[in-house]
Amino acid sequence: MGNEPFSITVKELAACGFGGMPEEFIPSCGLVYSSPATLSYNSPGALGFGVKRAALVIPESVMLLVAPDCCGRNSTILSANEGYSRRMFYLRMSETDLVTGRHLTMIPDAVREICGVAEPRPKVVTICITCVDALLGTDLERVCRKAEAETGVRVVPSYMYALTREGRKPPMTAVRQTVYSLLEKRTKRPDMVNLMGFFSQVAPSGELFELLHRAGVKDIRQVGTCRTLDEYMEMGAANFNLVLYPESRFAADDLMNRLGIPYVELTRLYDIEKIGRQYALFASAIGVRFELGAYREAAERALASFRSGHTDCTFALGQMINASPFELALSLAGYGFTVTHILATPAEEDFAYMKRLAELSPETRIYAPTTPSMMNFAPVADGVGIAVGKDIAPYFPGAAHVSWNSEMQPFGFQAVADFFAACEAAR
Amino acid sequence: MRGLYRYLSPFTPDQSGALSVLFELGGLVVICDAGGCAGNVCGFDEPRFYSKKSAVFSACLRDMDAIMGRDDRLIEKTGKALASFPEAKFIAYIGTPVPSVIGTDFRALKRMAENQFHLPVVTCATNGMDSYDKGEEKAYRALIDTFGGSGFSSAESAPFAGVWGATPLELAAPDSAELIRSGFAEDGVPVVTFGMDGPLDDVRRCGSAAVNYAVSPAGLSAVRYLQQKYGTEYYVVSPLYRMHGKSAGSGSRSSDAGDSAAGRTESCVSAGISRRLAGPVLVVHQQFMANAVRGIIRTSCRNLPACAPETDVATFFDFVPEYAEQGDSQLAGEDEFIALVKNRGYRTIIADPLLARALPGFNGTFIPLPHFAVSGQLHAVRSEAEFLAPLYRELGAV
Repeated sequence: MGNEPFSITVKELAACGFGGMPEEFIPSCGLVYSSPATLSYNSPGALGFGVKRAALVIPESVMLLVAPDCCGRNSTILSANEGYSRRMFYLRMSETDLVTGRHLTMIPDAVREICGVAEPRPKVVTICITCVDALLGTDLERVCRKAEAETGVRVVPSYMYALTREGRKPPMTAVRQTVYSLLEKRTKRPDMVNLMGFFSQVAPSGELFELLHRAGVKDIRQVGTCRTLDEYMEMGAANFNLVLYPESRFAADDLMNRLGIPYVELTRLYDIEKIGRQYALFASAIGVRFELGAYREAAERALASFRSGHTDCTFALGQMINASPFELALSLAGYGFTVTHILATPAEEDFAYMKRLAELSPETRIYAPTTPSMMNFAPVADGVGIAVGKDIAPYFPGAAHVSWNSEMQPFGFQAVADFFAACEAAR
Repeated sequence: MRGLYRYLSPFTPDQSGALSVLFELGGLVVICDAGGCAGNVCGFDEPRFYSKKSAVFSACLRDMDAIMGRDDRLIEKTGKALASFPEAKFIAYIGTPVPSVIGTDFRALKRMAENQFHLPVVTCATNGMDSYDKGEEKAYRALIDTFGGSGFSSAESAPFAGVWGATPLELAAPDSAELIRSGFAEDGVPVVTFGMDGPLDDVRRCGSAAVNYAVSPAGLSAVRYLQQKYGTEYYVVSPLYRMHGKSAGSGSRSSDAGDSAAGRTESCVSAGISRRLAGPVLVVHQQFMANAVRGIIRTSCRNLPACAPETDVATFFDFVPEYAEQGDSQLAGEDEFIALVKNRGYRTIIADPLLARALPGFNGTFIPLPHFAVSGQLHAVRSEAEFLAPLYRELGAV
C-alpha cells in the first residue's frame, strides 16, 4: 500500500459488484481519515442538512438536543450561520446522567421552560438524542409521550445515532421519518401530491411542477416550503407521494402504512434520454401523457453549448453533490466527456450504472474518500478541467470548481441545463 | 434549569482540547467515535484543520463494536492506517461519549497497541462532556508521561523554557504562540510552546526545561505536574505575553510566591489610553486571559483622575482560586452567567460575542473578546491586534 492512496478503476469495481467491493469502500472496515473532504461524511450537517437542521424543517417547531456537549458543538457554529440558532436548545448531559438516566426525567421541565422563552411559542418540540442513549437503550417515544402529556405541546422523537450509520435505518433515513411523523390521515385530495426526499425545496424552475400541473395536480407540497404547521399537516391529504431521493423511501413506506398514501419513486438523473424515459413511465403510471419536447430541447441546447466550447473537457467528481456521482459520470461519459476521477463511496443503487460506465469509461479511477490512504493523495494540478463538488476542490487546485450542492434541489431536464450552465460559468 | 441552555450553545468539549494539544506532533490520532465527534472536533474546534495536515482519524465505531467492546478490531484498523502512514511518531487514542458509556479500558488499549505496533501510545480518556481544558490537561499529562524523560538531559541541551497551555483554544489568535516566543526572545529567554508550533522533540526534552510558564489553567496543571516530576520551577504569565513585555505579565506568580497575582499586573500598552470604562466591569474568557485583560484595564487607568473601575473575572472553564480575586467566579452554565450579570449590575461586559445572546436585556457596553472555545470560527480573529482592537477602541487607545 505504501504512500499511494487506494483507488480502483471502474472496470475493476464493476467486476467486483456491490457484494465484492473492496473493504476500502466500506467506512466501518477501517479508520476514517478526517480531512476537509470527509467533513461532510463525518458531520453531515457541515454541508447542508444534518439530523438537527433536518428535523427543524417541521414548521413552527424547535429542537431540544439532549446529549453530551460534543454532539451539539457543531450547531453552535452552523445554527448561527444558517439562521436557526433561536430554534435550538440544549440539555447538556453529564457522566452522572449516563449512570442514572436523570437527564430523561428532566425533559418535561425543559420542554416547559423552552416554551416559555422561545419566540414565537413553538407548536412542536423535537427531542433529539444521540449515540449514548442508543447504548443506554432509551425509550424516547415513551419520554416524548410523557413530556407531551405534561406540557400540552406536541413532542416528537428524533435520533442522531451515528453508530447505526450502516444499519437498516441510518440517521438521515430516520430523520426523514421523523419529519413526516406528525402527519395524520386526512380526507384524500386527488389533486394534491407531496414531493419527498429533500429538506429544502425542489428548484421551482424545474419542469416537474409544470408537468404535474398539466396532469391535473393543483397542489404540490414539500415540507421545505411549508411555513405553518397547518400547511404541513395538509400533506396528510395527498393523493400520492413522489419520492425524489432514495433515503426517503423508509418515510414513504411509513406514510403508506399509516395513512394509506402510495408513492412513486423518481430518480434524479443527468442522462437526457433516461430522464425522458422515466417521465414517460411515470406518466403512463398515472394515466396521462407528458409533452416533454421543449424541456428536453433546453437541456440539449445547454449541453451542446458547453460541448461546443469544451469538447475535450475532463471531469473529477466528488461525493457531496446534487447527483449520484456514478450516474453523473455515466451521463458525462455518454456525452463524450472524459471522467478521470471519482472520489466517492458507491452505494448499492450506484451499481445500476457501473456496468455501462465500465464499458464507456473503464479507466476512470475511483478513490475511497474515507480511507486512511487518502492522506497521501497528492493534489492534482493538471489534467482535470472541472472538479465537481465542494468536498474535492482542495484535491484539484488546477481545475475549475463547480460545487453543485445548492440547497435548492435541481431535478429533471432543468438540472441538466443548469449543470452545464454552471460548468460553462466556471470555465 | 441546571444543564439547560436556552440561549447559549455548547462550548468546545474535552476531546477537542486533547486534539488541540496533539494536532501538530506528528502522531496518528484516533478519535474513538462513530464519526460525528471527529467531524465536530476537526471541522469546528480545530482552526488548523484547513491549513495544516494532521493524521486524525475517526475510529468509525458501529453499534456492534460498542456492544461487544471490540478493541481488537480497533487495533486492527489502526494497523491498516499505519500502513498508509508509516512515519507516525506515536499513536493517540482520544475518548468520546461512546467509550465512556461502554467503559473502554484505555490503559489496556495502550498496552495492546504498544505491543502490536512497537510505537509509543498516548491515551486520553475524554468523554465529550467535560470542557476543553480538561482534555488539554489529559493530553499534556499523557505526553509528559510517555515522552517526558525520553529527550536530552539538561546538560546536553541548550537552556530553554517551556510555555504550556498555548493552544488555539486558549490563546487570542493564530499569531499568539509566535508572539509569546518573540516576547520571551526579546527578554533573552528561548522558549518552546506546547500546543502550537512545537514538534514532538520539544516534548521529549520537556523534563530538562530550565523553567516552565503557564498561559492557561490547563497549562498550569501541566507545569505543576512537571514540577512534581522533574522539580522544574514554574510561573504563570499572561497569554498576551508580548503585550505585557518584560514585566512578566499579569498574574505572574512563581510556584512558591505569595504575592497577589493582580498586584503584579503591568502592561506596556498604557500610552494614549484615556477613557475609563463604565463600571463595574466583567471580563469572561479562560481565567488567565481574563486576568490579562483586567490588567490592561487597570493599567490604562493609571494616569486617569478616577481609579480603575471595579473589574471581575468569570470563566465557564477551569478556575484556579489562587489566581482569582474577590468577586471572580466560575460559571456552571448560562443560568449562573445571567444571574451574575443581573446581581452585580455590570455596566461593561468584555466577552465572546456569542455570550451576548444570553443577555437580551443588557443595556450596558458589550465589548467583544472572542474565545475560539466558545464561538469557533464565527468570531475568530486573524491576529492578536485584531483580538484586542475593540477593547482598545473603548479605552480610547486607537
